[in-house]
Amino acid sequence: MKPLLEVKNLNVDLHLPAGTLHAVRDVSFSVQKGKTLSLVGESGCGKSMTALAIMNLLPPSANYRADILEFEGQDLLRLSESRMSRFRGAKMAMIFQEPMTSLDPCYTIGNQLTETLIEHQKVSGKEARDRAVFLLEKVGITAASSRLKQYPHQLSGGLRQRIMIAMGLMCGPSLIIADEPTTALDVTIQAQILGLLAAIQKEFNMGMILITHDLGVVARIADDVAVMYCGQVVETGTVKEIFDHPIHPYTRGLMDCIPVPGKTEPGARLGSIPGIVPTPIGDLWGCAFRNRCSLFAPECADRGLDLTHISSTRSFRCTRPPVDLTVTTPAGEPAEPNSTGQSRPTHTPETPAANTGEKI
Amino acid sequence: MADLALKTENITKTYQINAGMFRGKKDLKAVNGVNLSIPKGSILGLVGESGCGKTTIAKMILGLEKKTGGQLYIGGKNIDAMGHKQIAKIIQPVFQDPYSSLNPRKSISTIISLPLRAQGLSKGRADLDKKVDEIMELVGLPPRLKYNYPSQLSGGQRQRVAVARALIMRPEIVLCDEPTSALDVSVQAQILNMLMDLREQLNLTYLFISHDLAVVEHIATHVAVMYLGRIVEKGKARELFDNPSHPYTQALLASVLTPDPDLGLPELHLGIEYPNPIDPPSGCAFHPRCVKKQAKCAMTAPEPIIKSGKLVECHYPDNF
Repeated sequence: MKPLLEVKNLNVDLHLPAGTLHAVRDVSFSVQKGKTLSLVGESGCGKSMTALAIMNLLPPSANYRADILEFEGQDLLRLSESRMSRFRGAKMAMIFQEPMTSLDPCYTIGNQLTETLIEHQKVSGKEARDRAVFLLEKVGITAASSRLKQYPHQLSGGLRQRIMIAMGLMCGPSLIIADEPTTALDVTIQAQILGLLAAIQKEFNMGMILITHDLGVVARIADDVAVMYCGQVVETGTVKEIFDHPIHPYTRGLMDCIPVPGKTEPGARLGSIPGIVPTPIGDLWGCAFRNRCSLFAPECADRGLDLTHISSTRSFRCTRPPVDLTVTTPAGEPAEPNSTGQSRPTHTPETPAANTGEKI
Repeated sequence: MADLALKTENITKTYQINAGMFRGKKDLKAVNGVNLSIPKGSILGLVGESGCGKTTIAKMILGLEKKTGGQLYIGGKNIDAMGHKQIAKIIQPVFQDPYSSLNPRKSISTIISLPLRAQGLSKGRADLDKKVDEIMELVGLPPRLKYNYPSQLSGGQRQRVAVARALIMRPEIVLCDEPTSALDVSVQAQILNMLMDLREQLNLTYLFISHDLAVVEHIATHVAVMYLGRIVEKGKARELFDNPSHPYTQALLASVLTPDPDLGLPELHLGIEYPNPIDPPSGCAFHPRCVKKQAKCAMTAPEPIIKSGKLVECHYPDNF
């Protein structure tokens, strides 16, 4: 089946006075209808830039290129800005992190909700308002029709985020990109909003890209996961694969960092990743994580380090995977490593697994 | 009393809010009769949703807000009898956002040494320099950053600067208001580890305010759960987390998303609305959101009772 969204070798460069910042490097993934892909990583890892590139909303100082960027069979790379703006908001919608700043304080909720629909589908004001009330009820807002006359400042954070979700759904999109949708909310509201997103996604059979740094959120609602570090995807897999058998030292480090009630001994030292994320400026090579990695070896600094694919869902970018990969390979899958093509090659190293003598 | 670092007796903070033109003032009880006591050397985790009054308590303890009722003792002394400088010697804060809590135009060395200079304790430049060097080493800041500015530092480094500034006076109590919620996961772990190490080295007492229950469970020795200006449950961390009695505590614990892909999203039955503190619900303030409410809950406010070593404000803690 052709995926809803296919991204292959997406690169985003920002031109700064200090040099070119490679915000996103050779990122590839696909999103299926009705599935949730989660992009996980810390701030500055390029997850939001990836989303903005898909929506073609990057700042003017950025430029992007990709081998494939296809949405519902349409090549987004070739669309003109006016054609693209017909997609954006209508076919793919985005939910931003801060419901406080992404609603316009000068317009009523009703105004902001109906605007996209009237713009995209040339419906009457009344039809648009009916749809707005319908969706507000869907996202669990009581007294929906009276809410339309309210201004954002009259609503709580949880309500505003529900309105953002309703706004995203106004035109019936087939892809929704949620960028840290619950980070600004209380924990009690977080679970409700995530439940709502998951239910609505199922009901309308939408694809979803969930961008977050919270591994707990990822574990509970994602189907597939791509872990990003320093602009690159360092590991992919289904949610069970990632959490049950993390391969990349960065993924494993992240999981040791969070205290898990019932598992982490209270008061014990948490695992931590020493050092800080490097800024991806200038000419880059080798493993971006090597200066923080406890398993660093000279070959980690070699030029060109590709994703090693061990199944159709599972891949990682590491020369010395610290685990026995036979455990993580599902039975019946061909376990041949095959490297994807890379766009910035200098020399292709031997298959990474051969370096360590790991049996794959 | 002597072994308590901090004690509050029935403290309240009532703000006067304009109810509207010609309608006079209304009372907003941000903190409504809170009793807390923190034994020396322990970590009290104060948890609750935004708007429950956690930060108002913090401000009163720091002497930044005047309480409207009750008594507050720090280091065994009544806060009413103390000036700002005396309070600051005993208790120092670390705030949530290291991006806005450090003056962008001052160097790291100046920021860290400010408490000493404000107290008039500096014995000349060389002495200040030495103290700054010591404290920077203690919190793991490389000495080369001494004359840098906050904008040149990462989030984790900035939070270390904030901790260094709090510790240079060698206070007894450090009040951490969401110290890690603005930080990345890997940096959060570094800061939490550092806070725990420092507590052991310097015999510090922490009041740790957070909405992240996983972090509180990890670090705290005692926990108080706050709802609408009241403490609804408090006790030793282990007992409270293993066996929560109040339905609100149970809902909060259920809302923690552990990274376990086998579990779905929790069903909380909390409704969406946090009550308006100007117009609080009758009886037990939590009853409109409580799944286990009875007729009595809407009528009378529950008295605190002792239940398996914890203090609980609920009419029916046995039902659960």
